[in-house]
Amino acid sequence: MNKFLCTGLLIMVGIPMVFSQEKTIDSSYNNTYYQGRMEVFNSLPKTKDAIVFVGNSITERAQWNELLPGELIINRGIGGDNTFGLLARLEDILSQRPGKLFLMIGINDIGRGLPLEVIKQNYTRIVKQIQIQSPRTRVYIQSVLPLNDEILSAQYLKNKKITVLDLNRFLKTLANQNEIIYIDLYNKVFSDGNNNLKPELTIDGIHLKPISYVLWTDYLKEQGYL
Amino acid sequence: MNMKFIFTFLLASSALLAQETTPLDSSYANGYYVERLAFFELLPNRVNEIVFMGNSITEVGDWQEIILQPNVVNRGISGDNSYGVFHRLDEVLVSNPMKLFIMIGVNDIKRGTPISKILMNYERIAGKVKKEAPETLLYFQSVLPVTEPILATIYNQINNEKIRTLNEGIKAIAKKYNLVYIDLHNEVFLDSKGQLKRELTTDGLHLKPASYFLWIDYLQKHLYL
Repeated sequence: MNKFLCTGLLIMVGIPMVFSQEKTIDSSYNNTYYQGRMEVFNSLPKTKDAIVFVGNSITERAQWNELLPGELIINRGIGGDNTFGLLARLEDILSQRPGKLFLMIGINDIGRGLPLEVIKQNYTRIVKQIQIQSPRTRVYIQSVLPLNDEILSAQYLKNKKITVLDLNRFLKTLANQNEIIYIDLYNKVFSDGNNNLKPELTIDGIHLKPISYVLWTDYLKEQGYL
Repeated sequence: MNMKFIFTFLLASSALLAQETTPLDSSYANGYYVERLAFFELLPNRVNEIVFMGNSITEVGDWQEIILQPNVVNRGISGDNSYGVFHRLDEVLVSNPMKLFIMIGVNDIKRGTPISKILMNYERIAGKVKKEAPETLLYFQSVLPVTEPILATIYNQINNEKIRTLNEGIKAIAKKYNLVYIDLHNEVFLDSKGQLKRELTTDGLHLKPASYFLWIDYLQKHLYL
């Protein structure tokens, strides 16, 4: 019993220690582009029961509105955004009580070399906050997409295959534990079978060609998520 | 005499040809244009579309979310010019849109296309829309002013004098074809010195997000939307 308590204390103390050791954790997100987008979001008319797509540039560059006619769609993608940035604006998104929330975030966290543990922790916080603040919103966690190292020119994104797979494995578990839907776009739409983003679907090894968004939304419809 | 005549004729006509063709760059179908257009063709057509057609200034506008009406469609292509717009009208007109708002021309000026050629394209646009989609309400939106002192050198062919001349021509064509001309240039974007308001632009040509709210407010106030 004593031993148990002692271990518990160690673990509790251990958490902040791990963080203080990792001096390299870069939790910034609030750049001028982010601010500009937030300015727009804040000026836009408020909605209720909308279908919201949340994420980084991959989400931002899709014309969800036009891909899904007849639905009230809101694009909350911000180029360059990461899990910290998303956490900071989540309250704002949830205050409009979305009907559905499609989430895809994490590749920029991986790109800047954030420890996987930190990304996972942020994701856990994201899910928790949604469930507390807007329990009636149907949440869909979309897998992070594969990259294509051969096409990528950005060095910092290369050799991230294993990290992406690890994160997706975690996201699937997180979704299961919280009884929300995990959408395996990685395998079902975008991977060439060898964990590379299909070359015909990408511009630069990470961003998507317009046709990819057609395949993406087709898949969501096929699965009955839309 | 015959020979001399023919010779002179040949000389004159080749000179004319050279004058006509060398300086005029009417290309438009670059990689981005082709890709965007292919994407537009994949998108579903809707009933009663409200279409915003133009270049990057149109493309980066969050039209759908600001207007929050169904059937708003963004048909902006960065870098597009009046030739490009004319040649992709079919993709837009096939859905028989309810309204078509066009703003185009500043990239033509950027590459030195004579104003008369740009206006010729405007005539072709008006004629084609009238003929193929007579029920579509076509709106010509004035080309916006630029903030000359802060323009980058790649824009050195663009100035407000040319833009004013172009707008006069667009206005006349709108009148001729019985279309609405929307004077955003003077009514929303111009400062007292004849420049694009500094606070509304990022680089002297493109707009800050806040500008789109003013733009749409204006359209709504005048019941174009």
